[in-house]
Amino acid sequence: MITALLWMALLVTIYIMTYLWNKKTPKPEGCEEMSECSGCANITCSHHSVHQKEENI
Amino acid sequence: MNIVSMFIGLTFVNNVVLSKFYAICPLLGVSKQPKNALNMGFAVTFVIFIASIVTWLLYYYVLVPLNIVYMDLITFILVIASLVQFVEMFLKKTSPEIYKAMGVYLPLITTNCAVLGVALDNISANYSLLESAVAGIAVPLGFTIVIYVFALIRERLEIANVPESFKGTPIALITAGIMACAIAGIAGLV
Repeated sequence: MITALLWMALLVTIYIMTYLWNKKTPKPEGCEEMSECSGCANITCSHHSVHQKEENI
Repeated sequence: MNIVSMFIGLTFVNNVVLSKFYAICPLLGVSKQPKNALNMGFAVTFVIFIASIVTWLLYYYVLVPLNIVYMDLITFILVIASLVQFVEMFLKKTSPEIYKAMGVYLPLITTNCAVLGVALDNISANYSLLESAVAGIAVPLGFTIVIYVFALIRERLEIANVPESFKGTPIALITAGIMACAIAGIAGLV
C-alpha cells in the first residue's frame, strides 16, 4: 500500500514538473498564436478560438 | 505472432477507430479539413509510439517487480500526460518545424483514449517489447488513414445535397457507421 502511494506521488510530481517546465519553455518564433483551434465546436476547451478572441479584447 | 500479419491486422482488420471505437472524439472533431486530420494523425502516431514503449517498460520493470500491477491504469494516464508535456517541450526547443506542423493537436492528444487504449491492450495481449513497438506504429497508422479518409468524405458532404435534418454531425455519424460496416466485412481475416 505504501509502495503504491509513493509511486502515485512520484508520478504526480513528475507530471507537475513536466507541466511547469513546458509552460516556462518559450514557444519558437512564429508559433506564438498557435494555441488557437477551431477544429470542433467544444467551446469549453481552452484552445477554442472563442477564448483567444476574449484574450485579445 | 508474425509481425507482418500483426501489423496488417492492427492497421486495417482490427482498426482502432472502426472496430474498437476508440478516438471517436478526434474523429468527429478534427476531420473537417483533410490537412488538420493529417496533422492530428501525425501527432497521434508520434505520441502512441513513444507511449507504447514507455508504458511497456514501466509495467514489466516497475509495476510487476513492486507488485503494484493494479496501479497500471493510473500509471499509464499520468505517464501519457507527462509524456505529452515532455514531447511538446522537446519539440519547442529542438524542432520548431515539427512543433508548428503538430500545432495545437499535440496537447489535445492527452485526452485521446486511443493512446491509453493501445498501452492497456499491449499489456492485456501479453505483447513483447517489439510487438508493442509494432502496435505503437500500426494502430495510429490505422487511425490516421481512417481520419484522413473521413475528412475527405466530409469535405464532399459539405457540398452534397443532404437533407436539412441530416446536415453536419448526423451525416458524419452515419458515414462513420457505414465505414465501420465496411471494416467489419474483413473481420477475422488476420
